[in-house]
Amino acid sequence: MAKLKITDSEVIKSGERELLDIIIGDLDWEAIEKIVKEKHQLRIQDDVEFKQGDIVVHGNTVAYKLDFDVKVTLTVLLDRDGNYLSFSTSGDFTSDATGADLEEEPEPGMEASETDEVNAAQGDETILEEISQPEDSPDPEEKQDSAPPPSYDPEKSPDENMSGMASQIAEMLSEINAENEE
Amino acid sequence: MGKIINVSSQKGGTGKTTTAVNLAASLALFEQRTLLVDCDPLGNATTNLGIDKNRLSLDLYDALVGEAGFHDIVVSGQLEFLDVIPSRFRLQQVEKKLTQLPNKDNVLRVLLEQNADSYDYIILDSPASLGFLTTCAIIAADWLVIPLQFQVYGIEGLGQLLTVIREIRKKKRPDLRVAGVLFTMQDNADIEIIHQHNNKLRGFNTHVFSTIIPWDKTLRDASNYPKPLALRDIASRGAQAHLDFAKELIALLKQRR
Repeated sequence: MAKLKITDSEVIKSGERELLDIIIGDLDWEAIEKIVKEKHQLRIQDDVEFKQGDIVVHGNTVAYKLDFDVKVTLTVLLDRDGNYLSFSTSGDFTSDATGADLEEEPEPGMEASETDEVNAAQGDETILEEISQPEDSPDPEEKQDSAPPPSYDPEKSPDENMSGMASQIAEMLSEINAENEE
Repeated sequence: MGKIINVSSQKGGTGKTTTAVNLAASLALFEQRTLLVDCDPLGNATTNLGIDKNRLSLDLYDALVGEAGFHDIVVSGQLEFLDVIPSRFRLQQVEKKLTQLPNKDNVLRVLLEQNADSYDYIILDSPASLGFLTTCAIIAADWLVIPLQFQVYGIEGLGQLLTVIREIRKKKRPDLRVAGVLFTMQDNADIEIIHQHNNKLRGFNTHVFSTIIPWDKTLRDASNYPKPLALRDIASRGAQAHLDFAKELIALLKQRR
């Protein structure tokens, strides 16, 4: 049977596109990301690009099928001999039972690059793996909260200066040692 | 576990290395298992203990960057009870090498703590500055011995050092303690002045070792000889003072566990 055109196909295409745009514009991306992470262990990065959409029948109801291109984080863990140990697509490490050569579990939250770096520095020793506290080293240049150190006062005599500074130092020494001896 | 003692002073020329080397040797002569760790890239303590830096294959740097183990870098001192971890100039690059490591200034502490059971005393000689290596050495220590010349600049520098120590205690090592201030390189007149000042110093003297290291030609020349003074001239004033100091320190740390 010959096709009988009863309306402009462009109107339909334009209407469908408009509908899909409205649906896409109203999507709850936080909820979608949650589903994707929970069901597929994928963490979506910022760039999400609409690829195509369609109106389909799902079960017995009309549904809208939306395809997107997304970027995901893929972390691969390998040992120093180049053997595959594990991978993660959620940004966290999940140990993989197939990683048969896995001798040491990576520390939770440690990225592959960090693990390699620490291992490389270890030279099979264990020194560096114990250093995992957050960096809060005292910096001599850093502004100190506490009282400034005693300093020479040119308006005082050398004797007064010596006694004054020594007294302050005595207090500092007592303060440093006192807490431990309590 | 052995006591880790850092001989620390931010001011140069206070006799820090001389004190560290001769204290370590004196402790060893009292048959205390002693390890001297040279944390100064200049490696003067290494040289002073007769170690030829050019013939070393490994040193402290290698262990700190994880390319060697503790036992690989320990060399024997000139006494039965004395071991040494030597250093060379490349130690100055260690901070750069460890840039990516979180909490990198704990690296020396971790290295020593794992092996402290093998020794009664571990003496650290650190550089004359408040830089990375000095901070590492302070963090690694249980106790600090502060050599000081009794003069205005020395006292001023001590105040700055104590400010840093206070910060390190607050952030990293709440159990860090100052064993005491050791007056060094004092001639007889200086010693008299120190005693006179003691009355004025209100409590300062409770943190000062009663041993005073005198100015002594044999000590001044110490760097010219590759051995501790006690092995060169045990009867000298300098050697005797360090033996007295070692005895005083042993007694003090036994008391203050």
